[in-house]
Amino acid sequence: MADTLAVGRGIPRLEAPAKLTGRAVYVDDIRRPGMLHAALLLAPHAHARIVSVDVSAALALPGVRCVLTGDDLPHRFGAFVKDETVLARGTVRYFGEPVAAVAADDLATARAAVDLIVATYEDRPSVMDPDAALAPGAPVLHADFATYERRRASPLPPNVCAETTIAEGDAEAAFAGCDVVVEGVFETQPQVHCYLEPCGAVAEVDDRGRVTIWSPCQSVFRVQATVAEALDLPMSRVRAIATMVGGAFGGKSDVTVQPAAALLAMRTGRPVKLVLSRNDDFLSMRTRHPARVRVRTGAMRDGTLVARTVDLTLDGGAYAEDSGAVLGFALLMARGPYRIPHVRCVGRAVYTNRLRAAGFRGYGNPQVTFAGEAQIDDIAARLGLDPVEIRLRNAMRTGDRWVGGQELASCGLTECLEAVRDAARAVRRPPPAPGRRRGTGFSAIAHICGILSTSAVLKVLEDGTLTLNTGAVDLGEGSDTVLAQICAEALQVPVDRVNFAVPDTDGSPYNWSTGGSRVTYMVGRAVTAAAADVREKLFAHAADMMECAAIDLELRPGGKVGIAGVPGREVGFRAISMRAHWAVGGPVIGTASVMFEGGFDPKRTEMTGDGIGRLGTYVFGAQAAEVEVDEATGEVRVLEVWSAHDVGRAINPLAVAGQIQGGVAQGLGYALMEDLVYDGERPANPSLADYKVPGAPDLPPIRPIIVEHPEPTGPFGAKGIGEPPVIGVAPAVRNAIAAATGVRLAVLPMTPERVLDALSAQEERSDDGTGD
Amino acid sequence: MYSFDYHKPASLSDAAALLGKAEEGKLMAGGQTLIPTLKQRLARPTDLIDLGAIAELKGIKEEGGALVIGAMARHADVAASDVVKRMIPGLADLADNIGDAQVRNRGTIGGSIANSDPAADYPSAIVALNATVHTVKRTIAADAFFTGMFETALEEGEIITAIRFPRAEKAAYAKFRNPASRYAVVGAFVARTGGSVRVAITGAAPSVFRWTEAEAALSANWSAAAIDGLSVKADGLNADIHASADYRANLVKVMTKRAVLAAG
Ligand SMILES: Cc1cc2nc3c(=O)[nH]c(=O)nc-3n(C[C@H](O)[C@H](O)[C@H](O)COP(=O)(O)OP(=O)(O)OC[C@H]3O[C@@H](n4cnc5c(N)ncnc54)[C@H](O)[C@@H]3O)c2cc1C
Repeated sequence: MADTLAVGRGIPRLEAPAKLTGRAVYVDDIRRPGMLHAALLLAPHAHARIVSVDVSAALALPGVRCVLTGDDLPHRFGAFVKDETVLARGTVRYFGEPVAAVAADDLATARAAVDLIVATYEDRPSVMDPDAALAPGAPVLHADFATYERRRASPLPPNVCAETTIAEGDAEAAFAGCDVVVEGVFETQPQVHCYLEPCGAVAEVDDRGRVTIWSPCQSVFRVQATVAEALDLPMSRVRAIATMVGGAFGGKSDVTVQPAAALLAMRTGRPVKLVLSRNDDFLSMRTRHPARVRVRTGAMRDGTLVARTVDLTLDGGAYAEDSGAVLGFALLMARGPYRIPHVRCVGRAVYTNRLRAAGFRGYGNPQVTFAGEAQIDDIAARLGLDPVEIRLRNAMRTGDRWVGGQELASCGLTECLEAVRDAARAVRRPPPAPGRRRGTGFSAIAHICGILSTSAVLKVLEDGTLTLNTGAVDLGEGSDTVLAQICAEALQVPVDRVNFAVPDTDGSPYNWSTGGSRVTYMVGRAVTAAAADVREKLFAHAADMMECAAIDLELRPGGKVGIAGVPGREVGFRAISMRAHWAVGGPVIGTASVMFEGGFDPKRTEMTGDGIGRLGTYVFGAQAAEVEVDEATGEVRVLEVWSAHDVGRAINPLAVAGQIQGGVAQGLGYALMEDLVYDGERPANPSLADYKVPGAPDLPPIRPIIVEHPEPTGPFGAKGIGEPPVIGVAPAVRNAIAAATGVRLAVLPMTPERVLDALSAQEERSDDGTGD
Repeated sequence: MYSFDYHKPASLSDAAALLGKAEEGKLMAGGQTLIPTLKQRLARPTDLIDLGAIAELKGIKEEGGALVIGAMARHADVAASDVVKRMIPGLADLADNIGDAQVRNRGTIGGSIANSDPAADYPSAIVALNATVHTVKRTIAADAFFTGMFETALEEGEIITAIRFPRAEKAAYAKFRNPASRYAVVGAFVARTGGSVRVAITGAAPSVFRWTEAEAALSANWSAAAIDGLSVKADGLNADIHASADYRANLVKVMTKRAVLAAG
């Protein structure tokens, strides 16, 4: 767009040179005078009573300054259920749960001291999956659950930490009138966040007893609030500052090791660094929720979708963390981006003796979308319809209402579907080699961007350049750059005149989190509003200075205010700001606070438990994947992926393409290979030598397609793109495998062995004459 | 990692002397297995003796019609060697598909076979090509070298100096890679020399083994179709998070066929 200065331009990341030259400062690069190094003792049992923890030998080791156990950190915390302590107290509930923390003069000493701690346990029977956890008489993980403080205190069955229903219409009755009803059960695995940078923190106490924590995190404010809660401190005694973040994907949304580092610093009076090894990070952090999704969908012969029911069981692991919200959101999305009048989605999140599950790019949506979009293909196959046609026939459009009643102000879904279909069908390749079968699969997705509150402060410096402070942490997706572009556009200055402040709870205004694909949309709204505030104040000065009415003024590129229609009659931001700082009115500072307000239409929708209604603005996208299946080994090679997303308006097309490519890569890992496998009670592959994350050589060409239907409420029309690209990949690949071979898989990841087993079963069926 | 003393001798005799003196000495080639083992604190040697400066262990050459590869030849050296590509191209190809570029630039043939990892690639080539392993003391025939999972015929402190491969008429390797490490879930090396065919399978069992039924079938009819009628029992094959024994049994056949096709 020629009429813009900054928005719509694919400029490189502001921090790219620092990252590429190794000068970017990550938490492990921080060194403070007198700093100690910390290490954790992790539990070697999935479920056990802690009989004793003898730290005397560890404390006696020269160089050891402090050893903490669960008794030092008695306060429970948790966003939905206060069920977790920083170190296990009395009971360990997953293999790898931190039991003790040591600070010593150097890391080798800290690790040696960890080895000297003698912890004794009394093993308890464990429950390693939801079926075991929900069985009558199953061991209970949280015996005191009833006494825990909870956001919603309704009674729940044993080992259940959340239960939710979202429904509209009458699905059961509607099935009776359908021509076809297809039912399936789908299962998904624990995917590990696998950010490049393991979790860590540096904590330091100042002379007033206030603790400052530097860490890679998704929200300095959540770190501040949770550390204060876990350590029973007023929030004013905790300051959190973001470091450069080496990826997060939801895994750094809640606290990681910040509370332990903070208490070690408080006890020793010295700065403490605690950075997890990759192995300890695998064992003690988080995964995506494993899910079992039972879906039934009813349709008419022409492909019109009529009713859908979803029964979702999420394995939440040992602690609730965000499970309640993940469940509620998954159920909100489970209908899919279609006009289906009758839906009933119910679900529960269950405690098991596994690593706690957490929000992970997509937040429950990849699980239900895998199931739902696989089933759309199954219906199309049953009815003999084209898989894109059936989606287009039912696709939501601008003006339609989502479950809960929210009206869609912008929706480019049909355009996304047509774009990936046309791109995929335009490709011509030579036929596959003998023994290989080829097919193309599709999926459609919806997601949201929005959620809760955020704010921005925009300061005009004396020379007329700007400092933008939003408290929003850039996790590597490029939000600092995009927000600077929005700010630059709003005030018509070059991007390099905008300084982006490091998020710091002392200096930054509140921002809920970098999550929910919300920063461009929500923080962008706060930035445009703060910029409007600045503009108004600049105009007041300019009107005085040029003796005209503010209403006659306009911004001119390069940081100037001029009288509309009178070329040459203008004052620069510098002159205005000098006047403001030294003569009249005081410094120009713009501020804004925004909130995405929730709620739902109770006349239309039934909601129980942690049901979520209005949460954000809806975004839409579609994928196509072409695969080749090796009949002899079951190996699936993805040849190409096309991924189209309606982003409202691409503030930075390069960054949007990057988000799409990265999300598709992560989605391919989820589809085909990533899985934290448990060998009984312990993870069998807690290292990158055994847990496969796709790297560049493993990836096919990924073709981002940007669709732009401006969102009236978005900054310059923009919507979010952080999570959407990961969501529809697994079902597109699954549907491509079905197109190639006829086998309809229902379990992720779709490993060569699973594919081969399904191919063999299909062969046996057709030998029996029972095949279709 | 625990602390240890590090040595870098310039000759085999110095290395042997250092090893003799050390309380618990360990030889180091490229460190690709050894260093991770130390990092995980699964071993606690007092001394590391780095073989990297010993000229006698280096080099790749043709000698009396055979291919001789020094123990310290790196995978990348073997993959790029004109001598290897000319004499046994299948071996260069095997080396080129080990791990990733970092591993290939550090890992060595001597370290690989001394380690005798059940999923390593080289053992299949050593056995199928009927190579001999030369050490400071003796030569060991391929069939006698690999004695079990992470076990070899090497004695305590016995240093491998070189591996000697007789030239084969046809030889090729096919593997199904572990997606993460790229070790072999199953690898098959087939070689035909004169009338004799050898088929060695790695990754499938605790140690590399010869698949004698396939050898007989291929001796009678050197073609991928010769493998079709054979069956592989899953009993005793490895089962882990990467693949079940049944899946590996299928791969033994598939990879052997692919190796025969590749050998031409
Ligand atoms: C990420 C990763 C991926 C890998 N992928 C593959 C793969 O795909 N296929 C594959 O085959 N391998 C693979 N490997 C193994 C790798 O190729 C090396 O061959 C192996 O790790 C041995 O490494 P090294 O030569 O550096 O020996 P080191 O680690 O230095 O030594 C290994 C052992 O051999 C002993 N040793 C070394 N040299 C001698 C000698 N001359 N005489 C006697 N004993 C000796 C040492 O004392 C030690 O016990 C992988 C390794 C890694 C880390």
